[in-house]
Formats: sequence, structure tokens, C-alpha cells
Amino acid sequence: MLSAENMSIGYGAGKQIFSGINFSAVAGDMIGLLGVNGIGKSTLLRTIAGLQPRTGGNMQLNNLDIHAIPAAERAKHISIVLTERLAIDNITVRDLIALGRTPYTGWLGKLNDTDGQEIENVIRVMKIEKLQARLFNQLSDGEKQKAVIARALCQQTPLMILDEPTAFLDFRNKREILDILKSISTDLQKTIIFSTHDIEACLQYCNKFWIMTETGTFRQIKRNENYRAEVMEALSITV
Amino acid sequence: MTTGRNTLLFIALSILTLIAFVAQLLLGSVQIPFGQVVAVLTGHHIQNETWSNIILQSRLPGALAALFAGAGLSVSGLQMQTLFRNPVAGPFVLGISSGASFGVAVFILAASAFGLAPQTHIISGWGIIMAASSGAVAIFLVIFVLSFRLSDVVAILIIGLMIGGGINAVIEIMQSFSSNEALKNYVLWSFGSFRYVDISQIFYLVAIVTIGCVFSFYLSKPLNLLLLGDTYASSSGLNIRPAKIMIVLCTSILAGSITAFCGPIGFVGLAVPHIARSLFKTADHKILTPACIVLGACICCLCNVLASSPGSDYILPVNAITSLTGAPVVIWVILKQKKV
Repeated sequence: MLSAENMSIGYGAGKQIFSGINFSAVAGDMIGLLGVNGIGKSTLLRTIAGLQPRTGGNMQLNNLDIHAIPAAERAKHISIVLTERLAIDNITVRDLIALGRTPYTGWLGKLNDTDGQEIENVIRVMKIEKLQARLFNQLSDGEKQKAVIARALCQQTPLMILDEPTAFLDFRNKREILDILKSISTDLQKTIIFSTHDIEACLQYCNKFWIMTETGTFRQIKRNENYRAEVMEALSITV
Repeated sequence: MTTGRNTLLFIALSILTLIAFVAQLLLGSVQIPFGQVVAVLTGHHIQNETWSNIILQSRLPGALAALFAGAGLSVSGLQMQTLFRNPVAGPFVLGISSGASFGVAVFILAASAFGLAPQTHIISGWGIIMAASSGAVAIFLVIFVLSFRLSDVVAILIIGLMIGGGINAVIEIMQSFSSNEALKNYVLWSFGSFRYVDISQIFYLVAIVTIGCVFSFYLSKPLNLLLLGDTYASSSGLNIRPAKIMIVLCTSILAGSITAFCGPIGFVGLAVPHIARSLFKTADHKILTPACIVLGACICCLCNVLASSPGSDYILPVNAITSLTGAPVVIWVILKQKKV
């Protein structure tokens, strides 16, 4: 459903960051994007999310060219979770999650019954019933991350993209977030792509690995009997 | 549950606003009995011609100006705080007021320096309004264009402050070259007042603020999304640039026109959104926009009553009164938030 052929990313023709990107992903995939700092992981994620144009090649999501459709339509196909931390005063977790319904609401953003049910649904999936009435700014880092993921989930998109979703978290929270992402991808049959520096956790949870090597090649490695060695090999070139 | 609480709050604030509005008509340096005020307002003829004039020519337009300026400035402040994702954004910080001051200063002071000074009653004329509007629009456009080049909001705020500082310096230089009469006119304008707006102009202020506030409701959804930041907003389906241009248009029309009609009114645009968030415990612009309208209107009406210092002949600068009430409120809100 998601595929790229010889795609290049960057900021205009003069500022190419990475090229020759080929990948494919299907529903239920949990994909870890690996590479050293500054190699262009965030740029690639932004490009896949349709937030910036690709500089060359092709990319399609369910036969749609994500870079050619309007933002409002795109929001029904891709949701994101960013590294930057949100700081909004006086917003409850529930209201934050409700913002995920935006692509489906009218001009005033009023929620109907379907929206309400979906919000309930997401709160149950994320197991955050106890957090929903609390103010977002008063949550711990782990709880905040769950709320932000819940907002993205509420967007009901087949593809979810997360930029270093476990970066600020302690060991326990990291596990918990990855467990949640795993269950979203397998139980809800969504495609999840996330960048990380935690190679061990990535090897353990993902079924596909996208590696931006320091030599400038893009590698897609599937979980097979030899995947661990292959990922390490691809990364050791970069060390 | 919260909807019920919000409804009660809205009702309470509306009643308070009504009381404050009526108080503006009743209180002033001249004491007019309640019955007579009501008689004049309901279109009856009363014996005392002076009273009738005071109410219809001075107090009523002033009261309406306070009502609408308060509402408009607060909504404008709310939108700027969300747009720039900064709690200290407001008409004053982002150059609209200094821009308006510059326009007026050029109009009054520079004209006088070249011996072109327009004569008396200058501070309530259309010339001032046009001068203030063009100054406000010019400066705000500069800051807005810069804000597209700089993604760092703090940098934008600093530039806003620096431009404001530079403008004040230029105004001071102009002041030292201008006549006493012009100087006095400029200083009076810079005090801010809801009384400058006369009955022939009030219609325009009411119309502009009403249009701006209605427009603001249509901006609730984009404003709510912008709370998340540009990237999240875009990924949620918002076209960032047109949305921001609409918001900027709305906020600068509101703040610019109010400053043009009433002079600089400090702190309302900055403080009221904070009070609204704190009272209604929400970040939702569908609630915050009407909340700011009612709260801002109420606070400006009360400040106008205070400025008229009932029972005495003094009229205090509204700008000073709003700043004196607004500054402690902002400090209180911040302290309260940090304590939680």
C-alpha cells in the first residue's frame, strides 16, 4: 500500500539530503527507521507524511500521490507524532485527543456522535481512561506521549508516522509505548513507521527496518532468520 | 458538567457586563438621576437639555466604545497569543499600538513642525483615525512578513519590541520639534479614551468590531489546531498559510481600528485571554472567543467607569486604568498557574 521508488528528499533541488530511497509497506507493518543524527530521518518522515514535497522519484499510498492531494484529504490517510513537545495550557487530555477528529468535523470543529464514539474507542485502546479528564500540562512524560499518540490514533488513518516516540522516556515507559504501537499495528492493522536510536528495542518490536546508511544508501531489511545480523551490518558501516 | 458550569459563567458575566454598561451611563462628573437617564435613553424628552446632551453625546457613545473596544481587543489578543504561540503576545507587544502611535505622531507632530497643524478637536477627527490605521497596518505588516521568515516566536516578539522602541524614539524626537498645542494633542491621544469616539463615529467602530468578532468564530477551528503548532496543524489538514493570513487580517483589523478610534488601550488584549482561560479552564477557541468578548467588554466598561472617577471633575487616562488593573491580573494568573 505504501511504496517509494527512487525517491529523493531535501529542500529544493539545491539541497538534496538523501536519494535513492526505495521501500514498501503494508497494513500491519511496524517499521523502525534507523540512522545517525543528521542523516535525514526527520526529513524522510516529513516527506512520507506529505508535509514537504519530495525532490524526485515516486511515492504512493494506496494509489494516491500524497504530495498531490489537499491537506484536508491527506489528513485522513496519515497521522503524525512529533519529537517536539507540546505545551498547551488548560487543555484536557480528552480535548487534545478530540483535535484528532479535525479532518472529519465541520467548519466549527463540532463533534458528533461518531466522533464521540471514536474518542471513547481510542481512550480504551490506549488504556488512558484515568487520564482523560486531566490537564495535559500536568502529565508525566510517558503519559503525555500516550495522549499525543491517542490524538494521532483518533485521526483514524491507515498510516501513522512517529518521530522518535520513545526519546524522552525511561525504560518502563519506552516498553509500554512500544507495546501499544505494536498492538495498534497488529490488532488495528495500521502501518506504523517510527524513527529511533534504540536499536535493541527496534530489533525486538519491528518486522521491517529502514536504514539510512552513512554511505548514502537506503536499505530495507525484513524480519527473516538473519535480520539481526543484516541490520547490524548495515548500521556498522555507519559507525 | 463543564458545559453547565460554562453556561452559568456566561450568564453571570453577561449580567455583570450589563451592570457595568449601565453604570457608565449613570456615573460621571455630573450627577443625573436614574429616572432621567432612563427617560433620555427610551427616547423621551427631558427638561434639562444639558443632561440629555451629556447622556446622548458623551456617555452613550463612550459606553458603547468601551463595550466594543473591550470585546475586540480581547479577541485580538487571544488570536495573537495562539498565532504566535506566546502568552505575552498582544496588540502592544506586536507593534500594532506603536504603529498607530507613529501614524498619529506623524499626523499631529510632524504636521505641526512644518506649520501645517490642523486646528482644534484634532484628537477625535477622522484624520487621526486614518493616520492611526495606516500606521498600525504598516508596522504589523512588517512584523507579519518577518514572522514568515523566522520560525522562532521569541525572535519575532523581540523584533516587535525593538521596532516599538525605535518608533518611540522617533516620536520623542518629533515631540521635541513640535508646538505645545500639538504636543498636548498627541499626549491626550496616547492616554487612550473611549470618549474620543463621538456619536457619528461610533457606528463604524461597532460595525467593524461586530464583523471582526463574528469572523473570529469562523477561525475557531484553525486556531484550535494552531495550538498544536504548524506541523501538527498541517498534518491535521489545515492549510497553514491562508489560515494564518485570515487570522492576522482579523486580529489586525480589530486591534488597529480600535486603537485608531480610542487610542492605545493597554493590557486588555494581553490580560483578558488569560483570565478567560483561567475562568473557563479550556483552550478551546469555540469557548474562549465568546468568553473574551464578554470578559473584555465587562472589564473595559468597569475601567471606563473608574476613569470617569464619579463624583469628581477629573477624568483619568483609560490606558493607565486598564494597565493598573491588567498588570496585577496577569501576574496573579501566572502565579496561580505555577502553583498548581
